[in-house]
Amino acid sequence: MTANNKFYWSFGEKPPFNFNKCYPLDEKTSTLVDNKDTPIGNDYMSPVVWGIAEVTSTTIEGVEVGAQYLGLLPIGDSVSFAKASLKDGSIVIDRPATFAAYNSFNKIESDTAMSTSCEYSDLALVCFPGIVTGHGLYFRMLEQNCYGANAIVITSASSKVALAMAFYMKNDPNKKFENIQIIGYTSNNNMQFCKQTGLYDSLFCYDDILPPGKKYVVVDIAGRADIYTRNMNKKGVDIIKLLVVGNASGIEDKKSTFSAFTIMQR
Amino acid sequence: MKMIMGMMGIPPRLHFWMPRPTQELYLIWEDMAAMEKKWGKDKVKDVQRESSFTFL
Repeated sequence: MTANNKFYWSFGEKPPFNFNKCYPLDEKTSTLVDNKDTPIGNDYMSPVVWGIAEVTSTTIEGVEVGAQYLGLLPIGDSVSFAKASLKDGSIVIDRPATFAAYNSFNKIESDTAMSTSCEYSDLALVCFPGIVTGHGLYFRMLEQNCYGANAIVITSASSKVALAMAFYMKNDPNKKFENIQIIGYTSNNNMQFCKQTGLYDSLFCYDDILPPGKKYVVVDIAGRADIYTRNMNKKGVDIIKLLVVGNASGIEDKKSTFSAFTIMQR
Repeated sequence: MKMIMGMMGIPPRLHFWMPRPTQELYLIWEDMAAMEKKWGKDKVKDVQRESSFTFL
């Protein structure tokens, strides 16, 4: 299990994600709960994980038996969907109870690292969702010119999303981030690892305050409202943008920046 | 408002002009859509294929 799975668990019952509604257990057919005297109701569901599914049977034109698709799957051997369609090469499941973006299964081409023909397909599968998000954040910073900031602060600096984002900024082919300071927040335990990556210009522990005199964009992957609040209250620390990305630290309720958004939508 | 419209699946062309808030819930899907618009689907696929090897 990774921080990614932890995120699905934390937000299983919270809109707009509703991950627990992806694969609810059917008490009439499920063999996962032994005690048939106790109704399952809505209390049980299959945890969701990113995985590769191989098509064993299909009625959708354009979807071939044996083809592999990447998507959010239940832990188990097989899954079947009553209704699905093909859109731009991806299988889209009809599942209105969950966030639409997670209802799409993308075909795995043989030349990607996730293909089972690749030696490291397992590692690639674990890393890929984080890398995609890290690349998206890099793209956002490019498109928005870092919102006018001269420093980007990434919390949970040892996470896959943070490492990918920092990696792409450091290796930008046009050197657009040459004058942008990349700062990481991490725990004492992961400080040495983060230093060794060489991806961060500065690293801070979670209790540290940012130095004044710069304009910051905070990319909060840890989901720690305390970092944002502490720095916002410090004179001279100018945070011009907060992007709330994840909840890697698993902080619940009001202490989590992420929770603030999900609560707001109820 | 922009965030909620995005989450409801309303096409980005209907809300791209709205200003982004100072505090924003980041949704990768918005940037995926922006990448497709800017680069086209084929280039986005190429970038994803390449990025799948990033940590290997």
